[in-house]
Amino acid sequence: ALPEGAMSNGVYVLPSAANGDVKPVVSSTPLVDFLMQLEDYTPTIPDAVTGYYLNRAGFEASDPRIIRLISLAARKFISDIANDALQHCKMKGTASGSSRSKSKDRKYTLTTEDLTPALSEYGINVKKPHYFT
Amino acid sequence: RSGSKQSTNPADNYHLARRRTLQVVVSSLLTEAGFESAEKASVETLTEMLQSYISEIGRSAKSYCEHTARTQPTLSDIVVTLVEMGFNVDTLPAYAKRSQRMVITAPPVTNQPVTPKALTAGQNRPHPPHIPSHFPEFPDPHTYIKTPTYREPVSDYQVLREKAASQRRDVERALTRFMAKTGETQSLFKDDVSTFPLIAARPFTIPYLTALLPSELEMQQMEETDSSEQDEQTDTENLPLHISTEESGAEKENTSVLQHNPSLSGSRNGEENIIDNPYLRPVKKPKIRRKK
Repeated sequence: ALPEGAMSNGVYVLPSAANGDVKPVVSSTPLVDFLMQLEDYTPTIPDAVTGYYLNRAGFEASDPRIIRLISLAARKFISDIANDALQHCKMKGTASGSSRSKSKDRKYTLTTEDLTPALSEYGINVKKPHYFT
Repeated sequence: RSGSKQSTNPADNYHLARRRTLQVVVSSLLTEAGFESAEKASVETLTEMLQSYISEIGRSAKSYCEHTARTQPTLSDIVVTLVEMGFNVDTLPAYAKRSQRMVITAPPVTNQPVTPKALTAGQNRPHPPHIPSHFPEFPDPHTYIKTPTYREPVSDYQVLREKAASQRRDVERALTRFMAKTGETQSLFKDDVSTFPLIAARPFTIPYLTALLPSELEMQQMEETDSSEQDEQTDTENLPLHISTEESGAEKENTSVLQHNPSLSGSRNGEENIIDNPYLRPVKKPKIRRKK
């Protein structure tokens, strides 16, 4: 197994890189340095919860920093969606031409109608019934 | 998973606690994004998405790791996974620096119920090597080991003699009372018949008979001088005289002695009840024949 943190600067150089002005095609893993910074970073999702769900999937985490990385990635994923939904909400709010004084920035409510188009951009289609029969 | 009336076993509680934590995380994210409130359905949607996203990352990273004949996932596995899921990895450090605000406490972990020291007895057996260490321990040894205990019999001489003597006295007493209850009794007190019954003495019709009749020894000596045809007769006559008196009180001996003489006069009673103990038979003297 490849030991953690001991990755060399694996730059793949094309055979014609002797002249030196060919950029490397594949750079090394970009997050190596970032992983070092994660030592004392506590993401919003606790390690125990993320570790629990990873264990259910069969992922045995040897390094706690990896868990934090994954929790950070998931968090960013959700926050991206939330921001998109916020954009939609704002667009609906200001598109109808309401006055600027009464800005709708104070009260934004996340509704399914805002969430659905935001998710559809990611390829996730949710269809929630409005009522239950 | 929405049923609140379902019976929650510890595994479900375990699961639900974490799901609630995820919901809290989602709510905090939404607040950070700028939302004041949210629909419950959309929060549930986002929670479900978050959970499945984490699980998918785990599963996919594991698959990539095993694809290269490894068992421990590394950073590159995760990077490849994120790339495959459409995640822009370059933006991750920037995002991390930007938002470092809310920290949510992890769900509390309950310890395993530990039996208090007062209740444990003895040493538990250690795990044999084929059992992993996170398995529960063996139960207390007293639950499956049985040691029968015997009290040592008392071997003190004094106690034993005392026991033997009291047992013998009890047996004698019981036997005499039994004889008194089943046979005829005489009583010492005039009005109180049942407290101290005595076994009734059987009076002889002719009391002076014993004095007149010759004793056994004389009888034997007399018969020895007779001819040899009467040898059998004397042998069979002597047998009923010996009623074994191993367990007897004083009264019983009296009755057995009294019974000797009626049988000697010719009546043979109770040959079938006789215990023929060869050591109690009369000594057979050799017949001395005198030349007639």
